[in-house]
Amino acid sequence: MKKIFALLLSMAMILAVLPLTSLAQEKYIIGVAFQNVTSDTEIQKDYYTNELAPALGMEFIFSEAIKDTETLVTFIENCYAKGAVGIINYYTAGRGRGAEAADQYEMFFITQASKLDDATLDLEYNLGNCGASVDGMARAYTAAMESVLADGENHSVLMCTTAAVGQVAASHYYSTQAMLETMQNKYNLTYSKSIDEIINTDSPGEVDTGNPNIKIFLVPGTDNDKTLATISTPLQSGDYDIFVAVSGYANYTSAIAEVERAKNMDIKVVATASIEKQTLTGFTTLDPLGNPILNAVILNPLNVANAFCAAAIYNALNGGAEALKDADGNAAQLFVNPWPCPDAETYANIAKLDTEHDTYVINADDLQRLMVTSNPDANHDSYAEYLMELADIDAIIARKIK
Amino acid sequence: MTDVAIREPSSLRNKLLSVWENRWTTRLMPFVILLLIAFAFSLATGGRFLASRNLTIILNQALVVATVATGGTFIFATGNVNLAMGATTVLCETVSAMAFLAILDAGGSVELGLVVMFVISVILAVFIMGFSAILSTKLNVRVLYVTIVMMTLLAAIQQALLGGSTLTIPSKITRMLANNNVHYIIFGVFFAFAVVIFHFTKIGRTLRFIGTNEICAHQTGKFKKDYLLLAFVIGGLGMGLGAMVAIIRSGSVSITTLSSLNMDTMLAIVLGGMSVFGGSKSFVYAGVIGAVTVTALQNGMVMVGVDSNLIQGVRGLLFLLLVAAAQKRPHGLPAPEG
Amino acid sequence: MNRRIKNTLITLAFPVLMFLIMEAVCLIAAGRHVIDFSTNLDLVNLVRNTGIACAITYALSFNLTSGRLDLSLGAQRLAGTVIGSNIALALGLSGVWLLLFSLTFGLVFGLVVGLVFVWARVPPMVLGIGMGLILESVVYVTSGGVGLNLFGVQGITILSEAYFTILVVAILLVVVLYLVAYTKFGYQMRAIQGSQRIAQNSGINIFRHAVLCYTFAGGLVGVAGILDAAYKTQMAVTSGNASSGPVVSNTFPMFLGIFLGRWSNQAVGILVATLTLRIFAMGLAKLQLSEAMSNVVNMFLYLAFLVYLANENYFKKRKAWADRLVEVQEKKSKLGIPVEA
Repeated sequence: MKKIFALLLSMAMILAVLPLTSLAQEKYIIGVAFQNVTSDTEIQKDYYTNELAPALGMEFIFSEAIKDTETLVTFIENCYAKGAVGIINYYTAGRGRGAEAADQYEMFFITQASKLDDATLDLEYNLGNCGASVDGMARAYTAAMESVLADGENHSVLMCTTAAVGQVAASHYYSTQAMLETMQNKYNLTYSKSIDEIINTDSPGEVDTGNPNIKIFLVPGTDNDKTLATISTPLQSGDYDIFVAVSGYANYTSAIAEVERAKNMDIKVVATASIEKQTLTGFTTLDPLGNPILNAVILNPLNVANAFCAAAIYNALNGGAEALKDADGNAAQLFVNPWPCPDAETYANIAKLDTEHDTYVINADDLQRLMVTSNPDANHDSYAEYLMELADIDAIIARKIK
Repeated sequence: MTDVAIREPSSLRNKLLSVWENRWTTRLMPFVILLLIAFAFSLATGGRFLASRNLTIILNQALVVATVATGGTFIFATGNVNLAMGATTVLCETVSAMAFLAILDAGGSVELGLVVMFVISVILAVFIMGFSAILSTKLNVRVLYVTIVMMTLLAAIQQALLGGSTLTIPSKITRMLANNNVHYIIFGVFFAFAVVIFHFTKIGRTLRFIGTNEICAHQTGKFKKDYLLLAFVIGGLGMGLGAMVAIIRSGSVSITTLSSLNMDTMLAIVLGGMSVFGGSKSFVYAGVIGAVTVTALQNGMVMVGVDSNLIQGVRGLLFLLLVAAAQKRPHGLPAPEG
Repeated sequence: MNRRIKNTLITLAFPVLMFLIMEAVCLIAAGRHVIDFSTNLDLVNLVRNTGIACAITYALSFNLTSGRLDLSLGAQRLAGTVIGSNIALALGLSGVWLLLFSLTFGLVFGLVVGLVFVWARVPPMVLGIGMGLILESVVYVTSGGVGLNLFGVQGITILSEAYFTILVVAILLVVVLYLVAYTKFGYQMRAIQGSQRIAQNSGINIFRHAVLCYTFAGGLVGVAGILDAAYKTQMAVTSGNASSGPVVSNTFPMFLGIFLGRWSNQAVGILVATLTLRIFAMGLAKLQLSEAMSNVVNMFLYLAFLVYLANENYFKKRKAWADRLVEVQEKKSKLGIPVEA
């Protein structure tokens, strides 16, 4: 009896997950392949569903966390089976193979990455990348480092370089490069290896700076738990008074606070973050020495790249694919500039962005500028120009926050 | 003295039960479930689910798991569980890809590189599984514990080899292999080989005998030590070939590649109608049917628009229900049939 | 020497020996101490990591010793911690209340898994995979993809304090020790470990016992989860049964703990084993080996231990066999039976 019940229940479940409404034929179905599924993901899903979808006439299918190329290809194939016509890809390591798979199924493909895959530039359906500006990130990290080093004292830095090795994430690589160069210029350091070799070392370790009073420790790796275990030893030595992460930082704050308490020292924290509650908490929460946990943050505009990617696919579907390519007709790179944020006051204003239609950095009204159907001149150059304008956070705040 | 037939009360319930627990019902249930799933999704998608292109997509997606699971059934048939299948496959994929790229970098031909890649993948997988089996048969460590250790050890070795980088085989090579149906050929030949060995030779019968009752098998002269090594070697062959199929399919390998392969393989084998305890009710096609079923479920759920947040949960729930439906419910807690 | 004192010394010898060995290795190879006593940071880390691992190992021991490898234990940890703690936070509670809620919801999810096991009677590994997928999905949906975020939450520092971790571990030790050694539950567990069928035939309700095992295991991993999350300030959602990783890696302390339990009991043995292996891991970290190399070293040690455990009586058996042969030959010669060469 129980077996029959189980079989009937499973069949009922399969039938129960059928959609209640049928798909309107005129909507474009676009697959969104997330690399990680975090708290940011829900914010982005809301933006896709509530702001972009109605404005662009699209329906978005969201993936589970894409951990490898095989999963990305599977997702692309399943989207194709559903009738999708485009893919927005976040899994940077799979952008080459993903572009090929999408091209095979005649689906437009765009990746949120900072470095193009050379082998697939000429694919017809590959629209290129829209990712964090490597120059922008480098400038932002240089400015942040200069601000924390400005007191003229000797400082030693512990850096979590995340996906910098092999430029898996180009922005991480260039951010790390900028920081190493800043340290080198500030203290006249002589590295025993080239900066490229230092960054591409797989295992964590101390950098030979040629100056025993200035220490630099690099920790590569994308697994936060493992990175936390790795940084414990150098952090607890008390030798490092600046902690930098090219991605998230919240995982490490307890470990940092313990060291600050035990060694009675202030450890400054510089990191990349998004517009979310956690960042405000970082600025407003005090560490054991009474200083804010976060000293400087480089903000990734969370939904700007999403808007550009969706608009690019929209234009491609409306005959504007060539306009998005470069002069040689190859897939091109677009860069989203980060917003440096040195203190809580600046962040308090930025935090009001991207919460509803009127405060979205690019809302449905702003999208018109990107769509060929309302702006026939929309092309790669106009996209790049708009992205440069969006680097000015003060102008955005003035426009969006009344 | 005549035998007095003991007659059970002939009730509808008993008749239904005897049909339900008939061995052919057990054998055919996974096919029935797969057909029901296909029917349900076809209904929901207006027939698009059963379009030939979609069926090809499902088959391609299921191929890696099907290949590894086919080899895995030899191990599962003996009543042992192997948790290191995924890690073995990925390590073989890594090492063989490294060898291939090294040969290309050294100026070697693509053909030589492919042959070397294939040979290294198979030999390495067979060696790893053989080593695992020897740890169990000669050094008496339980298979489950060996595979728990090997799972982590092999993943660590792969991480030490790769670091944070991703190895990529040039796409024109993987495309050439795919266009020539090399992945289908690999799977087809291995599956045919597995069917013959498992169902038509003494080896397969003995493996199932050992899974049913190891002591009886031992007393009949079928020693587990000898046959377990063979099961692991054939399983290793499946993993080595699965690595090749994975390379053809995705063309790249990193430390997160195929991270859920072991779980998917076990799901496939069990959903395909085979008992985790092995024994007489082991079928080599279980892995294939299960792999296709799991893939079809995933594909179908995306096609009908199930929220991505729920897909995993629905998959888990359906999996449990289908396994509960397909397997005979024991009177006690789950245990080997012997 | 009094047997009890001897057993205590043997039990304590393991972590002490491990400390001495790793201290020597770290000093020679890296010029560092394995535990730097100039501050309390290393000790706090050691206590915290040992406490978390010990709770997970206790949880594993409830089922694995009965032949059930529960692959959903990681997902139960995730669910108990995230859902329990989020509810506590929503009620305006913090600190120890997070621990209590995580424990409670861990017990609840453990109970659910146990009941499903007894109802469906599918093999435990299969059940673990299915329930792991379901629980991870439930966590994602109920937390909106956020998981548990304790960053900036007041009152959680206590959960990372060494003294609090020691207190929690002491309570767990007493509870597990009492359950396993002094209750009917413990007797039944040992009977079922011997033979499930015989235990059932002799009147033990194996179904109720299995449910209890799953329930206790769920509660224990809930405790481990919140201690871990409090230090890391978050517990992220996972998918594809990735949550089972931290749990499967604790099988080594479990086997070592059962081995050490010969000189004391299983509960104490597991605690001592966990401490021993944490000291080992600290030593590897001080050598600044990459994470991959640390795992390789750890796994070879694990393998060596398993081989030893499987063959520890090998030489005794060989000697006993040889002695028996000699005895047989002597007997034969006394009886005038020709002895084969």
